[in-house]
Amino acid sequence: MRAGLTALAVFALTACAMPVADLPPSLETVRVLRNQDVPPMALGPFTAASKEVGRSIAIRLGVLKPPKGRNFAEFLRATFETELKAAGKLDPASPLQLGGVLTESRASEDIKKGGGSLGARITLSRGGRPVFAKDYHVETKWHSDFIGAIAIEEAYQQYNALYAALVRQVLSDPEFVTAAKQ
Amino acid sequence: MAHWNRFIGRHRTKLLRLVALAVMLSTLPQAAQAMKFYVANALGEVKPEEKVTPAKPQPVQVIFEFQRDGKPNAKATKVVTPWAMEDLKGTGAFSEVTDAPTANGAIISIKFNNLVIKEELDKAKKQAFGAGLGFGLFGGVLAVDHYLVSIDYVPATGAAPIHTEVKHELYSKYGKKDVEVPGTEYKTADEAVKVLVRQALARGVNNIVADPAFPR
Repeated sequence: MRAGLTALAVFALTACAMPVADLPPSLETVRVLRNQDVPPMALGPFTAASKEVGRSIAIRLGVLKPPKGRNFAEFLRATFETELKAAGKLDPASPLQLGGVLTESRASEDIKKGGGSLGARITLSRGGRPVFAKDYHVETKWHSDFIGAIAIEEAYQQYNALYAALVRQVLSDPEFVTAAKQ
Repeated sequence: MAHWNRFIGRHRTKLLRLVALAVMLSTLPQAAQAMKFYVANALGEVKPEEKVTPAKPQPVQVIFEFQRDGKPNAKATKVVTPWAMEDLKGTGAFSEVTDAPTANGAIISIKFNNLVIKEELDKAKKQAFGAGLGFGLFGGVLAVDHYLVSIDYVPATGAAPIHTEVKHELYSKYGKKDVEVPGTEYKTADEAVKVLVRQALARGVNNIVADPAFPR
């Protein structure tokens, strides 16, 4: 009886679709951008390397999807925008332009453990001339749960956090900072 | 049930979702009423004799992040940020509290980390299932949400941050659990969390302002 009720609840709570949520900026990257006097930059297009990369991610019966009207590549762009804006380094009129291609977007779990990764090729151009291109990659692992609602929520949060981690990795990368300042 | 949904949506602790699950299994409205929320008494309010106020408050840019086990929790951040902004204004330590860069470059960064302690969680999960399947009438569960609030204040661009940490706890009791909770009870989860956030930020900001490195 108890197992049956639990199983019923597990499946009843697993069918849902949730959009990823906007992430706040971080003090660490704001300080890097300001202290190193990185010039303000514009944001160019962010695209997905393939349809598979840009589409929603399924965890059991739950679906993680991009925010309304955006794909995951555009969500990555929005995360850059939040961080640059907080640092006072976003200038749509700047000749320095940051762009990106989302090359990897993954999250999965097998009842006991979960894993997710995010990858992007980040580019900088000045006056339309490419000055920097580098591949970035972040990943995470977590303990998953038997209960679907918990497992989905955990995966959701872990996957969402990858965007902040990737953006912070890029903006605090000395190679990126050097290229932006040249 | 609305309190349940709001609390689960905002704080996302595993235990409370389990309790919610148990309640969803029940059709007894009084079972949902059995959930009680307490803010730990240990931290308390900043007393008037402890309060430090700057002579010339300066504007500050706020960066607020709600975390669970050190990972950003975007949804909770969105809910709690407006409360935190109001609480920071209420401290009187700053002339302006904004999410945009300020002329002086001052930033206050707040990381509100909800720590998950596995041993406590496992124990509470077992109790929660028993209590939930008994509609809260047989047995109960007392869950503790631990918060570690890390606050960094950077007075100006390039300046070294002033750092402080504050610990606080939220207790959630469900069902028949005969245990004395070292906290103050609030009617709803929202109310309890608002008090918890306010107390933690008031204490943290007071620590920052009292630091000799804080601009006078």
